[in-house]
Amino acid sequence: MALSTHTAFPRAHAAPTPRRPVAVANRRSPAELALRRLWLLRAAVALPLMAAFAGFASHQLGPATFPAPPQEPVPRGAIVSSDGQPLATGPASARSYPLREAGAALVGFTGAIQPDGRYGLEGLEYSLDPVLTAGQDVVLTIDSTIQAAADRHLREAAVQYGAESGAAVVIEAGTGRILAAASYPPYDPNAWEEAGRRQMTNQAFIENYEPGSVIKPIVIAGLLESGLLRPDEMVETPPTIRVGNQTFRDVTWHEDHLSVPDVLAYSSNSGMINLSQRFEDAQLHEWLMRFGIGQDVPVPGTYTESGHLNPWWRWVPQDHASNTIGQNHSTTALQLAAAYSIFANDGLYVPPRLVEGQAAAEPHRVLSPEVAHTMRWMLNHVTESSGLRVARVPGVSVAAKTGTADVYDNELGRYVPGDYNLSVAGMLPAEDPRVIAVVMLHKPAEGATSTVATGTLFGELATDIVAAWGEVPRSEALASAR
Amino acid sequence: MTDLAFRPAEARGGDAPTERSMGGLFRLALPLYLVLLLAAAYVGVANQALRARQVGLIADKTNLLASVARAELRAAAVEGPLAVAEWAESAGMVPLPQGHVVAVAAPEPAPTFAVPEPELELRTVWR
Repeated sequence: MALSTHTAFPRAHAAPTPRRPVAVANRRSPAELALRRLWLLRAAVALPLMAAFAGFASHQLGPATFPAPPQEPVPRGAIVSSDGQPLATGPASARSYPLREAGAALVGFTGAIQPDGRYGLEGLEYSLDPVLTAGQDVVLTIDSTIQAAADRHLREAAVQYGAESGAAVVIEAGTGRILAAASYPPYDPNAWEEAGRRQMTNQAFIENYEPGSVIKPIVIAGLLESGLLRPDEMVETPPTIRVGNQTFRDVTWHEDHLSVPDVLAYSSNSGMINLSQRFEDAQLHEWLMRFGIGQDVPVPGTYTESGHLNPWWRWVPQDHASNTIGQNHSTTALQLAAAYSIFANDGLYVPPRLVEGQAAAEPHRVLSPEVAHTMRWMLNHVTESSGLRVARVPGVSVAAKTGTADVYDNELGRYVPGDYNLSVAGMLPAEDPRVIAVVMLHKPAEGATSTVATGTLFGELATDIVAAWGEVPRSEALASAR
Repeated sequence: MTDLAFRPAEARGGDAPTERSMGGLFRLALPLYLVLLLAAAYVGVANQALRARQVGLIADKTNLLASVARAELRAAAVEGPLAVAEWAESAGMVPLPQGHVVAVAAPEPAPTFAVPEPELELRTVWR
């Protein structure tokens, strides 16, 4: 009873018990609760964040990994010929050159990106890289049909005559547009890793050689323009002539006196040297410079060599004679074509250009139209009456001149017997030229002559150029300038 | 330090309603936060799927541009000016300016005759 009585008493009357032991059983301390709440909060924030992170990082269930940023193909403008044929096309990573060897040394090629951000490694791919990288197409003045013909005939001639290298350039008269610039030895820019340095060099714009007798018409034109020569004069042409310590010989037999056109037709060294004595050294030097010999030929969009012409005050007498016949200075095929374009353009020098829409320097007058016309008539006479008949094109008059130059070996320090640079420079139709062409073969095998090797090459190229026009113009006989 | 959790409500004075609203807000905010984060995760997954598709399309574009470049290479091997000129020459064609000066003299190659074995009898190729 005492127990029940005792239990009947309310707890309030019981002796106070410490609160803490009761609370320990069911509750945690505020500090522990705060800690738990903090962890709960952290988990609530972190877990969904991790889920979101995983979601953004990868759409698959797996460890969160960031994929590489997508790489767009690097855009690169195409290089296109004037007739719409792609010469270089495709993105930088997959560039292709549809014409393969044709125009390869001119167009160049791309490779891996360079430290300066360029992809272009050679040729126009290098020099026009900023424009091409911006995705802009570049339209060249090149005519793909003429370019292909130039490359094809140059290659065939170089192989046939065992030439070490060669070049061919075709320029449109009146505008200076470069229609073709071929180079030998060729290479395929689609497999440029297999090519050597010589193949990659644009022989037409970069390599310069002593041109030989193709310079003679330039000297004649200078004499005519200076009033130091009349076209109907007879010139003394001995078989040999001695100037300073050097004897110059004529290659072919001819009369002791020749007309001026025949001096060119027989390519008489003695006749030319006799005539050029009417020039002082400085005058001859000045006329060679006016025709661009030893001068820069700035072609917007690409690189060119300027060749070499010694200053006249360093000349010795035999240098004057050598310069008259195209030795002792050097030119590129492009320079020679630009010089001959003065005859074709009625005396105007029209700077050559390669990229449509890019203006070159202003044309300037070098010869009077009358002298230019006379020179075309003389050069037509050369083609019609000398061994250069192989360069004629049926139905079209051709005005051209051959050149055979000795080759100086820098390592040996002398001219090497048997090594020649053969060339032909000319234009057609002679009475009103539409194109100027220059072909060159460097160090052909023994026995090759400029008339046979480069003359035939010029004729084949000229024939294909006329074929590309789609019609054969009826050439009229040039009026005599006598 | 006073433990507010164990103080009577009246003892907490003006803090009591704020505490309740804060607690309610917390209880609502957390699920809302979780839902939003899950939504963000979903958007992330969708974004990654689109990104993967973009990468695939760019790869396709690269391959197509490369194949176009290769196709132009193959086309030029057939209809390029160099190929056409070589084909025309192999087919016996001549450039236009030579059209009126070239005559077809022997469309077929000249026949070859076996040289007769030497013997006593005199032979000629015309017999």
